[in-house]
Amino acid sequence: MKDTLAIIINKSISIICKILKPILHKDGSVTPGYYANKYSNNIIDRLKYPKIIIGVTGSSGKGSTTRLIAKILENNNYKVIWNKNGSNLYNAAVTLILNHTNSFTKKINGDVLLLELDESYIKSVFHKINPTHLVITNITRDQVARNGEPELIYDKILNSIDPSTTLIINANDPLTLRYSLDTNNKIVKYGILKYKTDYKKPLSDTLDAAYCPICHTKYKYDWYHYGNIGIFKCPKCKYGTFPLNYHANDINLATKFMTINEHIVKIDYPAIFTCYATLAAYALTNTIGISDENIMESLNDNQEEFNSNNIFKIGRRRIEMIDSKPENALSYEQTIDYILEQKGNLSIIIGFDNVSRRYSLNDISWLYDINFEKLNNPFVDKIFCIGRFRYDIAYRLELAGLKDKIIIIDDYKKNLSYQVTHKSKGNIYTVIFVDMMDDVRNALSEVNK
Amino acid sequence: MKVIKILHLYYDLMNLSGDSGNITALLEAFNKQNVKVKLDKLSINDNIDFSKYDLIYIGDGSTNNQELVRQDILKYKDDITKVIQNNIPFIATGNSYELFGNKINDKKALGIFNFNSYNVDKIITDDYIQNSTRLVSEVVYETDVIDKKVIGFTNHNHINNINGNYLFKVIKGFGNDSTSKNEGIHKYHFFGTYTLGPLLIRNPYLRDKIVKDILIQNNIDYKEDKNNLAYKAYDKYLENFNIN
Repeated sequence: MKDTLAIIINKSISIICKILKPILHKDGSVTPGYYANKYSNNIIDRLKYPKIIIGVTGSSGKGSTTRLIAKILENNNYKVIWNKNGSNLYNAAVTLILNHTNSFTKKINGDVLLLELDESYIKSVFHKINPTHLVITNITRDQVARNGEPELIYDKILNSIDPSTTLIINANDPLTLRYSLDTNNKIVKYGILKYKTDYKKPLSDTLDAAYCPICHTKYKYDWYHYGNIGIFKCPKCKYGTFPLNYHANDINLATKFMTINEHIVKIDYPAIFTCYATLAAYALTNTIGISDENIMESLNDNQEEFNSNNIFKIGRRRIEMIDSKPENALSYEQTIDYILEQKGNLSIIIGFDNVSRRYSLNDISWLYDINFEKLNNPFVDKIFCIGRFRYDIAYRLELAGLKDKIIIIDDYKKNLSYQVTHKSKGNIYTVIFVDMMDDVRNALSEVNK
Repeated sequence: MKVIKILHLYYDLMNLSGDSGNITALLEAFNKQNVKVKLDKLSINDNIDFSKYDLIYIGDGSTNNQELVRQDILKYKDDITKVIQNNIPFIATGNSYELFGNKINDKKALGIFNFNSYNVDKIITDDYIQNSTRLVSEVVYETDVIDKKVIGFTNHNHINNINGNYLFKVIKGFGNDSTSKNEGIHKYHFFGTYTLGPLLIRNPYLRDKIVKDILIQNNIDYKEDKNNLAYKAYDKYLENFNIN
């Protein structure tokens, strides 16, 4: 009875949050679960779950991977319970699950439960119920102030893995690949073979998990895709990326196609991180029994998904606002790679007032783990540095040899639109933290008023 | 013309926190002085001749990597002791400076300085990082080395029992352990500190002091030049965070 009431509490608060959303500016993705769980502790342990329970975790790429898995499954007539808004903490999972649970039978009304999971909260969500499948996208330096070193994230995920769960892992990432050594689980490995911007030599010395965990010999890489993500092998014991169950190749971001195990599939956004999300979603859905043809059909149906709020124009110049993750150097660097893939002249706005929304600890050492040197490119016109750490950013860029491109703006809310329109050319990309998105959007929109 | 030789030690293992930025900061400073620099990056499997260098740097690493380095570095104990005692500038940031004490937990370290390092002995709870066994904070320190404050970040899972010869006095944030008002170690020309930042990027005055001393030691003139974004970034941080 207590559980029934908790489910009703969850559903009721969710409805209230929905109604009050315009006033509260909150989507109610966490609060209902918090109160339901408070009323009936660990309620999600006592529900009737669908046969397929999928978790998606990792340092980056969780959201897009989850979205594509849901798309393929729904296209193939599965009823999927998943969090469209990307909330990935414990109470968000509780809210989602209870909103789709029959209050009396306690049965979850879906064929598949699909959860994007913060790396640190897997165990709390799945402490009695185990996922049938867990996708691990990558484990890289991410919010080091909160998470500590990548190996600690690795251990947290390892300690939450049940032997019955099938692991779908990114074998281009040396740390993620270690799950194939440290568990006896069924493992499905995916990886990208080669992309035109790959490097033969590493762009920096900052490579996590650079040595073989078996014999401590330094890995040899055939190709570096980005950071330490690539095709690698231990020269001594031969442990490495291969063999792969699912491999992507022939990536063409301009036409937005690539192949997976020789099948042609569409990519819905022209960036390498989307290729990874597509590959992971393909591997997962094929593993649970959806045919290659049906997956391809679902992916090829895909329309480009973008937040039109973040793409607009000032005068004739296109602006794309990209939500960057300050404390995740590899994710940040992929944003830079994405910008450098674009055609024609371009200018960039970089800035943050804080490095995190969760805590006010401002560690900026990660700026030195990013290869800003890549921006030494004739198509990159100007780089505007804004926000509280603008001089730190500008100094990093100066050390990367970009002195002639740097413009520091002290009061960006007042001056950004003038400076951008008068002092730079080309399309504009913003690489700013989410805490400044609204202010920067407003500042740039001034021109159109 | 004298070429300053710098060694970036275990560059591919001790690099958890943008540590190569410290090398970049040094290279830039020597470059501005029109002094030629030769940088060697060496690691496990290299035969290292420590006596060749004017400056040696080692950075922060993951616990696993620190252990790999600990096993490798012990064979150089005599060589490293000699260069440190010969007053060759040696900078160790993050957990790398634990390697120069007697022990890290129960494992033998170089034993050049008389201290031990241990796992953080209690759960640290604060508003931001809940229930952590690491000491994580922004830091502001004072030092006898320069008359400017030192700023940066600290994030480490060990504490140590250094007694004397401290590098920094704690103004804000964590020191050598969860309550200590002292941080790091400074003896001969060895600078050991948990401070990240990168330390020599965030603290141009400290960087300049180290560079100046090396140039003087090599009979090369040092020219003051503070027209640099590094100083602006430093000043802005003090202003933004009300550090007087």
